[in-house]
Amino acid sequence: MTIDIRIAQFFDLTTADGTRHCYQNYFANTRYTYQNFSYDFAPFRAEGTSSTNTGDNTIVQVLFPNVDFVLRLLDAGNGNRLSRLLLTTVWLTSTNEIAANGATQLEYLVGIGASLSDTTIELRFRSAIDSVISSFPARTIIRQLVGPLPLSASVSLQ
Amino acid sequence: MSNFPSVTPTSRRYTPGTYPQKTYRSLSGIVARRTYGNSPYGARLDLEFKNISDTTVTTLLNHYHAQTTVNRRFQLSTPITAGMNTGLSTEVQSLTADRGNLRWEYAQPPQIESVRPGVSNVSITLSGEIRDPNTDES
Repeated sequence: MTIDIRIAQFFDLTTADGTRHCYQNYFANTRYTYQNFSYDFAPFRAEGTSSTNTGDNTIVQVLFPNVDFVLRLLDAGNGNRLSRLLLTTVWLTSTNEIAANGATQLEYLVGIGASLSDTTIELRFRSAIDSVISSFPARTIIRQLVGPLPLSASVSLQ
Repeated sequence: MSNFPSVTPTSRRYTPGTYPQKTYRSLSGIVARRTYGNSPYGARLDLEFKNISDTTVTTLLNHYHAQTTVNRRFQLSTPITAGMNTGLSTEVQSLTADRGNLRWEYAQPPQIESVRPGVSNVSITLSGEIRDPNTDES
């Protein structure tokens, strides 16, 4: 018995000027249409923690080869500091079609920078929407939100 | 330069590409196999050209230099699959999507063995990789 796992990821990056850059990493050299949008092929790999219970916005890394279109993508996103990413993970059937059982995961991420090496470009993101446990909504506590701040450290939000 | 030179090999050995998969085996023995892409890659073709003229050797070497210096993969020429039926020739050419739409590159430099003046043996190993539409031959 062999469990067959096929996963494709769709990378939908919106850069500072509002342009969408869409890539997928499964169907080699194929422009794949997903959700009425075309995704070109790019050999990227996404890894990292997408969500945590404490809402501390851990990092997701997307690794690309160091090629021209990724450099343009970096440039358009001001070094990936002004980019928004929708990373969709879909499970495929053994015939490489998207599973009909809705096995799909969406991650909304914001760019926080990038790093380059001679062969790779790593885009780093943090989750834009995270846990409801410790910091929801994910805002800094300011006077407009909670009123006059107390001098002591005990603030109770209810 | 583009396609591999039209020289019929004396012998050849073909290994089809592998699929981008990783296998994990659980303690219970169940195997889970993760597939990362829909195309095979890394096909291999070993070619032997025996007792060919040095002029032909030069043609082969010129092709090696021309393609490798610009990092451009290429298609096989028809004589490379000479003697195969259509189905097998199509398989080796690997141009269809389900065979990876491969383009070939030199896995290592050609090896030349001199037999006698003006005549040599040449060994060439090609590797078939998924075509890069930006750099490889169409």
